[in-house]
Formats: sequence, C-alpha cells, structure tokens
Amino acid sequence: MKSKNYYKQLSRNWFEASITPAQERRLKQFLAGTEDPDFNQIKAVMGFFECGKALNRPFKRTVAIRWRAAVAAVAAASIAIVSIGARQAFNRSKLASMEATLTDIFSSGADVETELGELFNDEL
Amino acid sequence: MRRIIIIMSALLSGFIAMAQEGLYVEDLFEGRVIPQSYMKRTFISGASLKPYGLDTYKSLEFTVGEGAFHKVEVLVIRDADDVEDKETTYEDGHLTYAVICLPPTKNGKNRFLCFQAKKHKSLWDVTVVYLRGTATVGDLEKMFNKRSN
Repeated sequence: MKSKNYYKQLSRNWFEASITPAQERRLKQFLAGTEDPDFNQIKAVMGFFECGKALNRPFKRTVAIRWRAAVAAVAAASIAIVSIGARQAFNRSKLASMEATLTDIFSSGADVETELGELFNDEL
Repeated sequence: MRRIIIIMSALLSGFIAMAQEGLYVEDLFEGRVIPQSYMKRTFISGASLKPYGLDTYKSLEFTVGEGAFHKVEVLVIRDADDVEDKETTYEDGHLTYAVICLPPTKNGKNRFLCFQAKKHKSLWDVTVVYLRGTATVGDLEKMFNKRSN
C-alpha cells in the first residue's frame, strides 16, 4: 500500500503529463477507491477527460461484438450450407423416384419395334 | 379492396390453368377422388427437370380397392377418349396401362398422361403420372425404356 504522498506526487505528475501508463493505471485504481477530498480536483479533471475521450472516441466494434458477429456469420453460413445440401439431397431423391417411376412405365408398355418385327415375321 | 380481388382472381385462374389443363384426372391430382393422405404425391418442376426435356412432373401412387380403382380408371379412359396417339392395355376388362399423348399446350409444350395399375390380391397398386415439356414420347422412350437400351 503506497502512501498518500505517493499518490499526490502521481497526481502532480499526471497534471504535468509526465506519468507512465502503469503509474496512471495505479493512480486511477487509487482514485476509484478513495474518498479523500484532497483528490477531488484530480478526480474531477480526470473524470472530465475520460468522459470527453469516450464521447470523441470513434465508433469501434469491441472484440466481443466482432466475435458475436463472426459466430453469427459462421452459424448462418452453416445453416445455409446444410439447408442447400438437404434441399439438393431431397431433389435428388425426388428425381430418383421420378426416374424409377418413368422407367417402370416406359419399360412396361408394348415394345412397338419388337411387335412390328414379330408381325412381319408371322406374315412371312 | 377491388384491386386485391382482381389480383387474387387472376392468380387463382393462373393456378387453375397451370394444373392439368382441363383433364378429368385433375380431380384425382386435386385429391377429390381419393384423399390426398392415401396417395404418395411427387411434384417436380423447374430447372432440375431440364435434362429430361420436361418442365412439370406430377405423379400419384396409391393402393385402392375395386370401387376406388374403377373411379380412377374411368377418369383416365375419359382423358384418353379423344386422343389418337396413345398406347393402352386392358386386362380382364380393366385398363392396366396407358401412355396418352395429350394435345399440346397453347405454347407448344407436349403433355403426357401415364397410367399403370397392377392387381395385388383384391387391391390395385396404381401409378398416375402427368408430364409436360418439350420432350416427345420418343425422347421419353429413349430415356426411360431400359429394354430398348
């Protein structure tokens, strides 16, 4: 646990922009947990800047949203592929059924050429 | 509202015209002779039929008793009545086989009605097929008559 003076020094350094990112993180952690009125000024200024940064930050998709979008895209593609595959299989099965039915019908009828040939031979 | 009624009537008349185009067997395909749940129906249309020279394939397969078979037989015989180009087979006074070349549609598509019935004990196994497309009966014979291949 660092002393109050340490954080006061960090605060001053922060105002002078001579603070490292690690020190800034440490300072923010401390400010989030302290009720000491000596730090009210830096809290207000830092809060103002954080708020301003958030408002001016260009819209960026977070990693979570990107992941969700990627998962949704993969799921949609999978559903599309499965449904296309199922549809093609269904169509193939219907066409196979059609071919079987028509083969049965067209192979069952009288063979005209054979009948004519037989008739011709009988007459001879 | 009036516009909707007109559009609906136009669509309905289109569907009616697209069915079996004025055939007696239309009642059979529509399930008015034998309940649809008793029949195995296969309807195919569109690009998948292109290799066969067809654009519509409708088939019904069912097994029925003597009374229902007679009703179906009568419809097919009526459709075959005025057609010259047909091949029919009768066994014991019953129509058991028919390939009927129906008059072509207004836009020149060929139409065929095929019928096959096989008696199995006291029941009839019946297949009725309606085909429409550019294929001729000769083309269909070449494609599907395995005896001649």
